[in-house]
Parts: sequence; structure tokens; C-alpha cells
Amino acid sequence: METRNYQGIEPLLGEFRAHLRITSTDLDGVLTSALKAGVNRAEHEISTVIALSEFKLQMPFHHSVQLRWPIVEVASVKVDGVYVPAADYHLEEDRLHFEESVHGDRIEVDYKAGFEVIPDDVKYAVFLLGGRYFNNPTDVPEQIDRTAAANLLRPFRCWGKH
Amino acid sequence: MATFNTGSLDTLVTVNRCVISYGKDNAKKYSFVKFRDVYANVDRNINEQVSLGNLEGGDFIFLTIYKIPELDTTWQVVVKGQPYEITGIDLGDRLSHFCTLTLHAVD
Repeated sequence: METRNYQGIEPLLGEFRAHLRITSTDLDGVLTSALKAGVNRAEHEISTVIALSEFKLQMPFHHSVQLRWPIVEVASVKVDGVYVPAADYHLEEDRLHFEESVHGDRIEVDYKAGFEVIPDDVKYAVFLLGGRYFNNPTDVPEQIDRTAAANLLRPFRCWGKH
Repeated sequence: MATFNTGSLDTLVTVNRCVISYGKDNAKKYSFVKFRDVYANVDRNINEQVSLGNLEGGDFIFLTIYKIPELDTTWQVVVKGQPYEITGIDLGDRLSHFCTLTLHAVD
């Protein structure tokens, strides 16, 4: 199980409001939901965390665990509720590897991942997607053709991750 | 549901709310206080209007803006320095974020 605290959404909200030419905060609740949906949709497209977020991953123990990419920092690692010293694990890109001496049943990893500075074209793609969800609050058929957002995200796609 | 392109909101207008106060002999006094600036689509598709026997041009306009919950026909909108009274509010689709106002120029 993984839980996520979106830290990177709040700083984007003002720009998203301006993108949609909204001058008040009346619609911030709906805008935040649409923006999160846009971020998640774009993240699935490029297999990369866009909005800087804190993650808590809880799962059965394995010696190699895949985290989200790009990782900013690993705050803490626990095995069966006991903190694991940093010397007993290391990161290789998006994988957390434990030393052979570490054993247990369950692990808990607190880490931060996402772009610290979001590339302008990725941000614009997120706004296009979020704007589409904001303007269509009911379910609608989506276009099969490549959209502008998909084309903006295409160069950022990471093959072989997740 | 018909969608409205946000890019059409290209004109910044000022929405003023009406404040009613009472003067001497309980006479009502209407004044207008700025509520906020909003982006709007201004549609001037009525070019001529016969009013009081005179041919008046451009007195009526349609304005599409994001819905404002408190808005009613006592409010005013200032478009390019010209105040307009609100003669109609079309809320459109229940799920749409936009409404269309029919405005008439204040003399």
C-alpha cells in the first residue's frame, strides 16, 4: 500500500487559475481535484512523478524494492517497525536495495519524489489535462487521436520504469 | 454538455455589487462597490436597438463569465469604462462553470 501527500500541487494552483482565467478562489476545491487528476494522468503517461510529493510505502519485505522516480530523498526505512540504518540499504536509480543481513516480514519506506522544478512543457500539459477535467465534470468519451497534452509529454516518457 | 472555450475569456471587466442605504425620509440610495475583476467574453451581436423611438447602437451586450454565486440583477458590470446594468442571467447547464449575462448600458 502506498499513500501520497501532494506537496507540489499548492504552488501550481495559482498558475492553473491564471491558465483558466479565474480571478477568484471560489473554485479552488474543484480546481485542486482537477489538477491532481491532470498530474496523475500525466504521470501515468511518462512513468515519472511530476508534483513533488511525500510517499509512504508499506509492503511485504523484499531485498529490492521499486520506488517512484525521480527520488529526491529517502527519509526513513523501517523493517517490522524498526528503523534500518542508512548503511544497510542503498539506492540504485529508483530501486532500494537492502544488505543481505537485513531480514523481516514488512517494510515501511518514507520518501520524497517528483520534479523539484517542473519543465515548462510538462507543466503546460498538466494544465491542459486538468483544464479538460475541470470543464467536463461528467464522464465523456475522450478523443482517440493524440492530444496536445500527450504530444507535450511524449519526450519525457521513460520506458522500462513501472 | 456544451463546452465553452476558456480562451474566449479575453476581456477583463469589473463586477460591482449593489449596496442599498437609506437617506433622508427613508429614501433608498443605491451605490456600487467593486466585487472583483473577472475575465469575460463580450458578445456584441445586437448592434441596433429601438428604444424610446431612438435608434441606439451597442446598448445591449452579452457577457460570458465564470458563475458568481451571489450575483443578481441589482449588480453592475463595467466594461471598458462603461457601466452596464444586468437585465438577465442565464445560468446555462447546471454543471457548467459559466453563465451568460445580458447587459444594458447605463446612461
